[in-house]
Amino acid sequence: MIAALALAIGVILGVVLHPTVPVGLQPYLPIAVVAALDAVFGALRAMLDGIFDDKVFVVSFIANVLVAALIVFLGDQLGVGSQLSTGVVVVLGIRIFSNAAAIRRHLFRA
Amino acid sequence: MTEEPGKPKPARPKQPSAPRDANGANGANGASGGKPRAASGSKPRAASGGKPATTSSSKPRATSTKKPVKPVKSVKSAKAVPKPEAPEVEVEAAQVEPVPAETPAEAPAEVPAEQPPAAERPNGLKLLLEMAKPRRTRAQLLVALLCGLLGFALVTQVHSQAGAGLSSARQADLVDVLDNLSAKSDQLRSQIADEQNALSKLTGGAGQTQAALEEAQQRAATLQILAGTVGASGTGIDLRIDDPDRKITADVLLDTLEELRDAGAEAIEITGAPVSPAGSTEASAVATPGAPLAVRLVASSYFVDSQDGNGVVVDGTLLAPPYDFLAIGDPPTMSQAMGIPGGVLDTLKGKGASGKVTALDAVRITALHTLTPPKYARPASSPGTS
Repeated sequence: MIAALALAIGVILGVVLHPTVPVGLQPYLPIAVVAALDAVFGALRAMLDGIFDDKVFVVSFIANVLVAALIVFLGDQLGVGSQLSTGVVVVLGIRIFSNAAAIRRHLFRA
Repeated sequence: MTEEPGKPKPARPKQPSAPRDANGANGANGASGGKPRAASGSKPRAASGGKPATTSSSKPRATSTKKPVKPVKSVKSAKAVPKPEAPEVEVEAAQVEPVPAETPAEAPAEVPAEQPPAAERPNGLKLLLEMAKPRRTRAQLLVALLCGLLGFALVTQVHSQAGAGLSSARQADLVDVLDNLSAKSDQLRSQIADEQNALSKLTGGAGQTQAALEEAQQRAATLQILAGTVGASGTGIDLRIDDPDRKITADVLLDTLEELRDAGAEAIEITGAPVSPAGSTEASAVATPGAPLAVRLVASSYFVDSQDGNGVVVDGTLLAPPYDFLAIGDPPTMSQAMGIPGGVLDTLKGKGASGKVTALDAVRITALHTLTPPKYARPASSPGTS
Protein backbone atom coordinates (compact mmCIF):
# COMPACT_ATOMS: atom_id res chain seq x y z
CA MET A 1 0.00 0.00 0.00
CA ILE A 2 2.73 2.35 0.98
CA ALA A 3 4.64 1.27 -2.09
CA ALA A 4 1.72 1.94 -4.40
CA LEU A 5 1.18 5.27 -2.73
CA ALA A 6 4.83 6.11 -3.11
CA LEU A 7 4.70 5.10 -6.78
CA ALA A 8 1.81 7.47 -7.33
CA ILE A 9 3.63 10.22 -5.45
CA GLY A 10 6.72 9.65 -7.57
CA VAL A 11 4.70 9.89 -10.76
CA ILE A 12 3.05 13.07 -9.58
CA LEU A 13 6.39 14.53 -8.56
CA GLY A 14 7.81 13.70 -11.98
CA VAL A 15 4.87 15.34 -13.70
CA VAL A 16 5.00 18.41 -11.51
CA LEU A 17 8.73 18.96 -11.30
CA HIS A 18 9.34 17.99 -14.89
CA PRO A 19 13.07 17.42 -14.39
CA THR A 20 15.57 17.18 -17.19
CA VAL A 21 17.64 14.04 -17.39
CA PRO A 22 21.36 14.67 -16.97
CA VAL A 23 23.27 13.97 -20.16
CA GLY A 24 25.46 11.34 -18.54
CA LEU A 25 22.43 9.47 -17.31
CA GLN A 26 20.43 9.57 -20.51
CA PRO A 27 21.44 6.22 -22.00
CA TYR A 28 20.93 4.39 -18.71
CA LEU A 29 17.68 5.77 -17.42
CA PRO A 30 15.34 3.90 -19.80
CA ILE A 31 17.10 0.59 -19.16
CA ALA A 32 17.15 1.24 -15.44
CA VAL A 33 13.44 1.98 -15.53
CA VAL A 34 12.72 -1.26 -17.35
CA ALA A 35 14.89 -3.21 -14.91
CA ALA A 36 13.13 -1.61 -11.97
CA LEU A 37 9.80 -2.47 -13.54
CA ASP A 38 10.96 -6.03 -13.78
CA ALA A 39 11.87 -6.02 -10.10
CA VAL A 40 8.50 -4.55 -9.18
CA PHE A 41 6.67 -7.19 -11.19
CA GLY A 42 8.75 -9.89 -9.56
CA ALA A 43 7.92 -8.48 -6.17
CA LEU A 44 4.24 -8.41 -7.04
CA ARG A 45 4.42 -12.02 -8.01
CA ALA A 46 6.28 -12.95 -4.85
CA MET A 47 3.67 -11.11 -2.90
CA LEU A 48 0.95 -13.19 -4.49
CA ASP A 49 2.99 -16.29 -3.81
CA GLY A 50 3.05 -15.19 -0.20
CA ILE A 51 6.81 -15.05 -0.08
CA PHE A 52 7.44 -11.38 -0.51
CA ASP A 53 10.34 -10.03 1.40
CA ASP A 54 11.26 -6.39 1.65
CA LYS A 55 14.99 -6.87 1.73
CA VAL A 56 14.97 -9.17 -1.23
CA PHE A 57 12.96 -6.66 -3.13
CA VAL A 58 15.24 -3.79 -2.25
CA VAL A 59 18.34 -5.71 -3.11
CA SER A 60 16.94 -7.16 -6.31
CA PHE A 61 15.62 -3.76 -7.35
CA ILE A 62 18.97 -2.06 -6.88
CA ALA A 63 20.89 -4.97 -8.33
CA ASN A 64 18.61 -5.10 -11.37
CA VAL A 65 19.05 -1.43 -12.03
CA LEU A 66 22.78 -1.50 -11.52
CA VAL A 67 23.33 -4.58 -13.65
CA ALA A 68 21.20 -3.22 -16.45
CA ALA A 69 23.05 0.08 -16.36
CA LEU A 70 26.35 -1.74 -16.24
CA ILE A 71 25.47 -3.80 -19.29
CA VAL A 72 24.50 -0.70 -21.21
CA PHE A 73 27.65 1.07 -20.09
CA LEU A 74 29.74 -1.90 -21.16
CA GLY A 75 27.95 -2.00 -24.49
CA ASP A 76 28.62 1.67 -25.03
CA GLN A 77 32.30 1.14 -24.28
CA LEU A 78 32.42 -1.81 -26.67
CA GLY A 79 30.55 0.03 -29.40
CA VAL A 80 27.51 -2.22 -29.31
CA GLY A 81 25.52 -0.09 -26.92
CA SER A 82 22.30 0.01 -28.88
CA GLN A 83 22.35 -3.72 -29.56
CA LEU A 84 23.12 -4.61 -25.97
CA SER A 85 20.47 -2.29 -24.60
CA THR A 86 18.03 -3.87 -27.01
CA GLY A 87 19.05 -7.26 -25.69
CA VAL A 88 18.63 -6.14 -22.11
CA VAL A 89 15.22 -4.75 -22.87
CA VAL A 90 14.22 -7.99 -24.56
CA VAL A 91 15.37 -10.11 -21.63
CA LEU A 92 13.72 -7.88 -19.09
CA GLY A 93 10.60 -7.79 -21.21
CA ILE A 94 10.47 -11.58 -21.23
CA ARG A 95 10.86 -11.63 -17.46
CA ILE A 96 8.16 -9.05 -17.04
CA PHE A 97 5.89 -11.09 -19.23
CA SER A 98 6.48 -14.29 -17.33
CA ASN A 99 5.99 -12.53 -14.03
CA ALA A 100 2.85 -10.94 -15.36
CA ALA A 101 1.66 -14.36 -16.45
CA ALA A 102 2.22 -15.72 -12.93
CA ILE A 103 0.42 -12.75 -11.42
CA ARG A 104 -2.42 -13.29 -13.82
CA ARG A 105 -2.66 -16.93 -12.83
CA HIS A 106 -2.85 -15.91 -9.23
CA LEU A 107 -5.44 -13.24 -9.70
CA PHE A 108 -7.70 -14.83 -12.28
CA ARG A 109 -6.58 -18.44 -12.06
CA ALA A 110 -6.37 -18.49 -15.80
CA MET B 1 8.09 -11.17 6.99
CA THR B 2 9.14 -10.42 10.43
CA GLU B 3 6.34 -8.04 11.09
CA GLU B 4 3.42 -10.46 11.12
CA PRO B 5 3.87 -13.11 13.67
CA GLY B 6 0.40 -14.53 13.53
CA LYS B 7 -1.23 -16.32 10.66
CA PRO B 8 0.87 -15.69 7.57
CA LYS B 9 4.03 -16.97 9.15
CA PRO B 10 3.28 -20.67 9.11
CA ALA B 11 1.94 -20.34 5.61
CA ARG B 12 5.04 -18.74 4.26
CA PRO B 13 7.76 -20.98 5.51
CA LYS B 14 5.86 -24.04 4.49
CA GLN B 15 5.38 -22.91 0.98
CA PRO B 16 9.07 -22.52 0.43
CA SER B 17 9.54 -26.16 1.24
CA ALA B 18 8.49 -27.08 -2.29
CA PRO B 19 10.51 -24.32 -3.93
CA ARG B 20 13.46 -25.39 -1.91
CA ASP B 21 13.45 -28.52 -3.96
CA ALA B 22 13.06 -26.57 -7.11
CA ASN B 23 15.98 -24.55 -6.01
CA GLY B 24 17.87 -27.71 -5.43
CA ALA B 25 17.11 -28.76 -8.95
CA ASN B 26 19.07 -25.78 -10.11
CA GLY B 27 22.57 -27.15 -10.24
CA ALA B 28 24.12 -23.89 -9.19
CA ASN B 29 21.91 -23.36 -6.21
CA GLY B 30 21.82 -26.88 -4.96
CA ALA B 31 24.76 -26.53 -2.64
CA SER B 32 23.89 -23.11 -1.41
CA GLY B 33 20.27 -24.04 -0.97
CA GLY B 34 21.27 -26.82 1.32
CA LYS B 35 23.17 -24.72 3.74
CA PRO B 36 20.43 -22.28 4.67
CA ARG B 37 18.14 -25.17 5.10
CA ALA B 38 20.42 -26.55 7.74
CA ALA B 39 20.62 -23.13 9.29
CA SER B 40 16.89 -22.77 9.34
CA GLY B 41 16.69 -26.19 10.74
CA SER B 42 18.11 -24.86 13.95
CA LYS B 43 15.01 -22.78 14.39
CA PRO B 44 12.30 -24.61 16.20
CA ARG B 45 9.59 -23.80 13.68
CA ALA B 46 11.59 -24.79 10.66
CA ALA B 47 12.84 -27.94 12.29
CA SER B 48 9.42 -29.48 12.14
CA GLY B 49 9.20 -28.83 8.45
CA GLY B 50 12.79 -29.79 7.92
CA LYS B 51 12.24 -33.48 7.70
CA PRO B 52 9.63 -33.54 5.00
CA ALA B 53 11.71 -31.08 3.11
CA THR B 54 14.72 -33.32 3.03
CA THR B 55 12.70 -36.34 2.11
CA SER B 56 10.83 -34.55 -0.56
CA SER B 57 13.97 -33.01 -1.94
CA SER B 58 14.56 -36.07 -4.04
CA LYS B 59 11.01 -36.30 -5.34
CA PRO B 60 10.39 -32.80 -6.54
CA ARG B 61 13.78 -32.81 -8.08
CA ALA B 62 12.38 -35.38 -10.45
CA THR B 63 9.30 -33.30 -10.95
CA SER B 64 11.24 -30.19 -11.56
CA THR B 65 13.29 -31.92 -14.18
CA LYS B 66 10.03 -32.63 -15.95
CA LYS B 67 9.34 -28.94 -15.92
CA PRO B 68 12.60 -27.24 -16.74
CA VAL B 69 13.13 -24.18 -14.64
CA LYS B 70 13.00 -21.09 -16.77
CA PRO B 71 16.23 -19.18 -17.06
CA VAL B 72 14.45 -16.06 -15.99
CA LYS B 73 13.78 -17.54 -12.61
CA SER B 74 17.24 -18.94 -12.21
CA VAL B 75 18.59 -15.44 -12.55
CA LYS B 76 16.53 -14.32 -9.68
CA SER B 77 17.45 -17.24 -7.49
CA ALA B 78 21.09 -16.77 -8.35
CA LYS B 79 20.80 -13.22 -7.20
CA ALA B 80 19.51 -14.42 -3.88
CA VAL B 81 22.23 -16.98 -3.36
CA PRO B 82 24.85 -14.74 -1.80
CA LYS B 83 22.45 -13.60 0.85
CA PRO B 84 23.32 -15.03 4.17
CA GLU B 85 19.91 -15.13 5.74
CA ALA B 86 18.00 -18.29 5.39
CA PRO B 87 14.48 -16.86 5.03
CA GLU B 88 15.54 -14.78 2.08
CA VAL B 89 16.89 -17.73 0.28
CA GLU B 90 13.62 -19.44 0.89
CA VAL B 91 11.76 -16.48 -0.43
CA GLU B 92 13.78 -16.28 -3.57
CA ALA B 93 13.49 -19.96 -4.08
CA ALA B 94 9.79 -19.62 -3.73
CA GLN B 95 9.82 -17.10 -6.53
CA VAL B 96 11.43 -19.73 -8.65
CA GLU B 97 8.56 -22.08 -8.07
CA PRO B 98 7.12 -22.73 -11.53
CA VAL B 99 3.37 -22.97 -11.30
CA PRO B 100 2.08 -23.37 -7.82
CA ALA B 101 -1.00 -25.32 -8.77
CA GLU B 102 0.95 -28.40 -9.84
CA THR B 103 3.17 -28.92 -6.84
CA PRO B 104 0.69 -30.11 -4.25
CA ALA B 105 -0.34 -33.12 -6.26
CA GLU B 106 3.19 -34.25 -6.84
CA ALA B 107 4.51 -34.31 -3.31
CA PRO B 108 2.48 -36.49 -1.07
CA ALA B 109 4.91 -36.02 1.78
CA GLU B 110 4.20 -32.34 1.76
CA VAL B 111 0.47 -32.66 1.72
CA PRO B 112 0.08 -31.48 5.28
CA ALA B 113 2.50 -28.69 4.65
CA GLU B 114 0.91 -27.70 1.35
CA GLN B 115 -2.63 -27.46 2.48
CA PRO B 116 -2.57 -24.00 3.98
CA PRO B 117 -1.13 -22.44 0.83
CA ALA B 118 -3.55 -24.43 -1.29
CA ALA B 119 -6.34 -22.85 0.67
CA GLU B 120 -4.68 -19.51 0.43
CA ARG B 121 -3.94 -19.52 -3.26
CA PRO B 122 -7.45 -19.42 -4.64
CA ASN B 123 -8.07 -16.02 -3.11
CA GLY B 124 -5.01 -14.26 -4.49
CA LEU B 125 -6.81 -10.98 -4.36
CA LYS B 126 -7.40 -11.39 -0.68
CA LEU B 127 -3.74 -12.07 -0.20
CA LEU B 128 -2.88 -9.06 -2.26
CA LEU B 129 -5.12 -6.91 -0.13
CA GLU B 130 -3.60 -8.35 2.98
CA MET B 131 -0.14 -7.64 1.71
CA ALA B 132 -1.25 -4.19 0.74
CA LYS B 133 -1.99 -3.38 4.35
CA PRO B 134 0.30 -0.60 5.39
CA ARG B 135 3.10 -1.81 7.60
CA ARG B 136 5.45 0.69 8.98
CA THR B 137 8.85 -0.86 8.95
CA ARG B 138 12.11 0.47 7.69
CA ALA B 139 12.22 -2.06 4.87
CA GLN B 140 8.72 -1.11 3.84
CA LEU B 141 9.73 2.50 3.75
CA LEU B 142 12.71 1.57 1.65
CA VAL B 143 10.48 -0.31 -0.72
CA ALA B 144 8.21 2.68 -0.90
CA LEU B 145 11.15 4.91 -1.60
CA LEU B 146 12.29 2.70 -4.43
CA CYS B 147 8.81 2.54 -5.88
CA GLY B 148 8.57 6.31 -5.70
CA LEU B 149 11.93 6.55 -7.39
CA LEU B 150 10.70 4.21 -10.11
CA GLY B 151 7.61 6.30 -10.73
CA PHE B 152 9.65 9.45 -10.79
CA ALA B 153 12.20 7.98 -13.18
CA LEU B 154 9.47 6.55 -15.38
CA VAL B 155 7.72 9.85 -15.77
CA THR B 156 11.01 11.66 -16.22
CA GLN B 157 12.08 9.30 -18.95
CA VAL B 158 8.72 9.54 -20.67
CA HIS B 159 8.93 13.30 -20.53
CA SER B 160 12.47 13.40 -21.82
CA GLN B 161 11.50 11.08 -24.64
CA ALA B 162 8.53 13.20 -25.52
CA GLY B 163 10.41 16.47 -25.37
CA ALA B 164 14.00 15.74 -26.24
CA GLY B 165 13.73 13.88 -29.52
CA LEU B 166 17.22 13.87 -30.96
CA SER B 167 19.14 15.13 -27.96
CA SER B 168 18.95 11.78 -26.21
CA ALA B 169 19.68 9.71 -29.30
CA ARG B 170 22.88 7.79 -29.73
CA GLN B 171 25.58 8.79 -32.12
CA ALA B 172 24.87 5.94 -34.51
CA ASP B 173 21.19 6.76 -34.51
CA LEU B 174 22.00 10.40 -35.12
CA VAL B 175 24.20 9.44 -38.04
CA ASP B 176 21.35 7.38 -39.42
CA VAL B 177 18.94 10.24 -39.01
CA LEU B 178 21.41 12.59 -40.62
CA ASP B 179 21.89 10.25 -43.55
CA ASN B 180 18.19 9.93 -44.03
CA LEU B 181 17.67 13.65 -43.83
CA SER B 182 20.48 14.49 -46.22
CA ALA B 183 19.24 11.91 -48.69
CA LYS B 184 15.79 13.35 -48.44
CA SER B 185 17.05 16.88 -48.82
CA ASP B 186 19.05 15.85 -51.88
CA GLN B 187 15.95 14.35 -53.34
CA LEU B 188 13.93 17.43 -52.57
CA ARG B 189 16.62 19.67 -53.97
CA SER B 190 16.67 17.78 -57.25
CA GLN B 191 12.92 17.99 -57.28
CA ILE B 192 13.16 21.75 -56.82
CA ALA B 193 15.60 21.95 -59.72
CA ASP B 194 13.25 19.95 -61.90
CA GLU B 195 10.32 22.13 -61.01
CA GLN B 196 12.31 25.27 -61.65
CA ASN B 197 13.36 23.93 -65.02
CA ALA B 198 9.80 23.21 -65.90
CA LEU B 199 8.73 26.62 -64.66
CA SER B 200 11.37 28.47 -66.66
CA LYS B 201 10.52 26.38 -69.69
CA LEU B 202 6.87 27.25 -69.38
CA THR B 203 7.41 30.94 -68.67
CA GLY B 204 10.06 31.12 -71.40
CA GLY B 205 7.60 29.58 -73.82
CA ALA B 206 4.96 32.03 -72.75
CA GLY B 207 7.39 34.91 -73.17
CA GLN B 208 8.33 33.75 -76.62
CA THR B 209 4.73 33.44 -77.55
CA GLN B 210 4.07 36.89 -76.20
CA ALA B 211 6.99 38.35 -78.10
CA ALA B 212 5.97 36.60 -81.27
CA LEU B 213 2.44 37.86 -80.81
CA GLU B 214 3.61 41.42 -80.31
CA GLU B 215 5.86 41.22 -83.32
CA ALA B 216 3.08 39.76 -85.40
CA GLN B 217 0.73 42.49 -84.25
CA GLN B 218 3.29 45.14 -85.13
CA ARG B 219 3.79 43.63 -88.52
CA ALA B 220 0.08 43.37 -89.00
CA ALA B 221 -0.29 47.06 -88.14
CA THR B 222 2.46 47.97 -90.59
CA LEU B 223 0.95 45.84 -93.28
CA GLN B 224 -2.49 47.22 -92.61
CA ILE B 225 -1.16 50.73 -93.09
CA LEU B 226 0.60 49.71 -96.27
CA ALA B 227 -2.45 47.88 -97.53
CA GLY B 228 -4.62 50.82 -96.61
CA THR B 229 -7.12 48.89 -94.53
CA VAL B 230 -6.73 51.12 -91.49
CA GLY B 231 -6.62 54.83 -91.04
CA ALA B 232 -3.33 56.57 -90.37
CA SER B 233 -2.16 59.78 -88.83
CA GLY B 234 1.12 61.60 -88.49
CA THR B 235 3.21 64.41 -89.89
CA GLY B 236 2.95 64.94 -93.62
CA ILE B 237 2.10 67.31 -96.43
CA ASP B 238 -0.91 68.41 -98.30
CA LEU B 239 -0.41 68.84 -102.08
CA ARG B 240 -3.26 70.71 -103.62
CA ILE B 241 -3.53 70.67 -107.37
CA ASP B 242 -5.80 73.20 -108.99
CA ASP B 243 -6.56 72.34 -112.57
CA PRO B 244 -9.10 74.77 -113.98
CA ASP B 245 -8.40 73.73 -117.57
CA ARG B 246 -8.56 70.04 -116.85
CA LYS B 247 -5.21 69.40 -118.38
CA ILE B 248 -4.06 67.04 -115.75
CA THR B 249 -4.14 63.52 -116.95
CA ALA B 250 -3.76 60.24 -115.16
CA ASP B 251 -0.07 59.94 -115.88
CA VAL B 252 0.64 63.26 -114.18
CA LEU B 253 -1.15 62.08 -111.07
CA LEU B 254 0.69 58.79 -111.24
CA ASP B 255 3.99 60.62 -111.51
CA THR B 256 3.02 62.70 -108.50
CA LEU B 257 2.19 59.56 -106.56
CA GLU B 258 5.50 57.94 -107.50
CA GLU B 259 7.33 61.08 -106.52
CA LEU B 260 5.65 61.09 -103.13
CA ARG B 261 6.53 57.45 -102.63
CA ASP B 262 10.12 58.12 -103.59
CA ALA B 263 10.19 60.86 -100.96
CA GLY B 264 9.17 58.34 -98.30
CA ALA B 265 5.44 58.81 -98.04
CA GLU B 266 4.00 55.97 -96.02
CA ALA B 267 0.29 56.51 -96.48
CA ILE B 268 -1.25 58.51 -99.27
CA GLU B 269 -4.78 59.59 -100.01
CA ILE B 270 -6.12 61.51 -102.93
CA THR B 271 -9.18 63.63 -102.72
CA GLY B 272 -11.06 64.96 -105.65
CA ALA B 273 -14.34 66.60 -106.43
CA PRO B 274 -17.09 64.25 -107.38
CA VAL B 275 -18.25 64.19 -110.95
CA SER B 276 -21.90 63.79 -111.67
CA PRO B 277 -22.15 61.41 -114.57
CA ALA B 278 -24.78 63.31 -116.56
CA GLY B 279 -24.54 67.00 -115.62
CA SER B 280 -21.80 69.42 -116.43
CA THR B 281 -18.70 68.85 -114.46
CA GLU B 282 -18.27 72.45 -113.49
CA ALA B 283 -21.70 72.72 -112.08
CA SER B 284 -21.33 69.59 -110.13
CA ALA B 285 -17.89 70.58 -108.93
CA VAL B 286 -19.25 73.85 -107.74
CA ALA B 287 -22.37 72.31 -106.44
CA THR B 288 -20.66 69.84 -104.23
CA PRO B 289 -17.45 71.31 -103.04
CA GLY B 290 -18.04 70.22 -99.53
CA ALA B 291 -18.30 66.52 -100.28
CA PRO B 292 -15.07 65.49 -101.89
CA LEU B 293 -14.30 61.90 -102.72
CA ALA B 294 -11.28 60.41 -101.05
CA VAL B 295 -9.38 57.38 -102.32
CA ARG B 296 -6.65 55.61 -100.43
CA LEU B 297 -3.67 55.07 -102.66
CA VAL B 298 -2.04 51.68 -102.23
CA ALA B 299 0.26 49.47 -104.25
CA SER B 300 -2.51 48.26 -106.47
CA SER B 301 -4.05 51.69 -107.11
CA TYR B 302 -4.44 52.75 -110.67
CA PHE B 303 -5.10 56.00 -112.54
CA VAL B 304 -7.09 56.03 -115.73
CA ASP B 305 -8.22 59.05 -117.69
CA SER B 306 -11.93 59.28 -117.77
CA GLN B 307 -13.44 58.79 -121.19
CA ASP B 308 -15.03 62.21 -121.39
CA GLY B 309 -11.88 63.96 -120.16
CA ASN B 310 -13.62 65.37 -117.18
CA GLY B 311 -11.40 63.80 -114.64
CA VAL B 312 -9.43 60.79 -113.65
CA VAL B 313 -10.64 57.40 -112.47
CA VAL B 314 -8.71 56.36 -109.40
CA ASP B 315 -9.34 52.80 -108.25
CA GLY B 316 -12.72 52.86 -109.90
CA THR B 317 -13.72 56.25 -108.50
CA LEU B 318 -14.09 59.14 -110.91
CA LEU B 319 -12.46 62.24 -109.49
CA ALA B 320 -12.52 65.75 -110.83
CA PRO B 321 -10.17 68.62 -110.02
CA PRO B 322 -9.14 70.08 -107.74
CA TYR B 323 -7.09 67.15 -106.57
CA ASP B 324 -5.69 66.98 -103.10
CA PHE B 325 -2.89 64.60 -102.11
CA LEU B 326 -2.51 63.86 -98.41
CA ALA B 327 0.71 62.08 -97.67
CA ILE B 328 2.14 60.98 -94.31
CA GLY B 329 5.89 61.05 -94.11
CA ASP B 330 8.75 63.46 -93.51
CA PRO B 331 7.33 66.87 -94.51
CA PRO B 332 10.58 68.63 -95.53
CA THR B 333 11.73 65.71 -97.63
CA MET B 334 8.43 65.44 -99.42
CA SER B 335 8.14 69.19 -99.90
CA GLN B 336 11.59 69.31 -101.47
CA ALA B 337 10.80 66.30 -103.62
CA MET B 338 7.75 68.09 -104.95
CA GLY B 339 9.65 71.31 -105.62
CA ILE B 340 12.80 70.03 -107.34
CA PRO B 341 13.41 71.53 -110.78
CA GLY B 342 11.62 69.52 -113.43
CA GLY B 343 9.65 67.84 -110.69
CA VAL B 344 5.98 67.59 -109.93
CA LEU B 345 5.31 71.27 -109.40
CA ASP B 346 7.18 72.23 -112.58
CA THR B 347 5.29 69.63 -114.57
CA LEU B 348 1.98 70.92 -113.20
CA LYS B 349 2.99 74.43 -114.06
CA GLY B 350 3.90 73.35 -117.56
CA LYS B 351 0.48 71.76 -117.92
CA GLY B 352 -1.21 74.98 -116.94
CA ALA B 353 -2.21 73.84 -113.48
CA SER B 354 -0.96 74.96 -110.14
CA GLY B 355 0.26 72.90 -107.23
CA LYS B 356 0.62 74.01 -103.66
CA VAL B 357 2.47 72.11 -100.98
CA THR B 358 1.60 72.64 -97.32
CA ALA B 359 3.52 70.91 -94.57
CA LEU B 360 1.27 69.73 -91.77
CA ASP B 361 2.00 68.54 -88.28
CA ALA B 362 -1.00 66.29 -88.16
CA VAL B 363 -2.31 64.57 -91.22
CA ARG B 364 -5.23 62.25 -90.84
CA ILE B 365 -5.88 59.73 -93.52
CA THR B 366 -9.23 58.14 -93.09
CA ALA B 367 -9.99 56.70 -96.51
CA LEU B 368 -9.71 52.96 -96.59
CA HIS B 369 -8.85 50.52 -99.28
CA THR B 370 -11.02 47.47 -99.51
CA LEU B 371 -8.84 44.43 -99.55
CA THR B 372 -9.69 41.58 -101.84
CA PRO B 373 -8.26 38.33 -100.63
CA PRO B 374 -5.84 36.77 -103.07
CA LYS B 375 -7.45 34.19 -105.23
CA TYR B 376 -4.39 32.17 -106.16
CA ALA B 377 -1.50 33.30 -104.07
CA ARG B 378 -0.97 31.45 -100.77
CA PRO B 379 1.53 32.25 -98.07
CA ALA B 380 4.66 30.11 -98.41
CA SER B 381 6.95 29.46 -95.49
CA SER B 382 10.12 31.32 -96.15
CA PRO B 383 13.32 29.38 -95.52
CA GLY B 384 14.45 31.86 -92.89
CA THR B 385 11.61 31.35 -90.47
CA SER B 386 11.53 27.64 -90.10
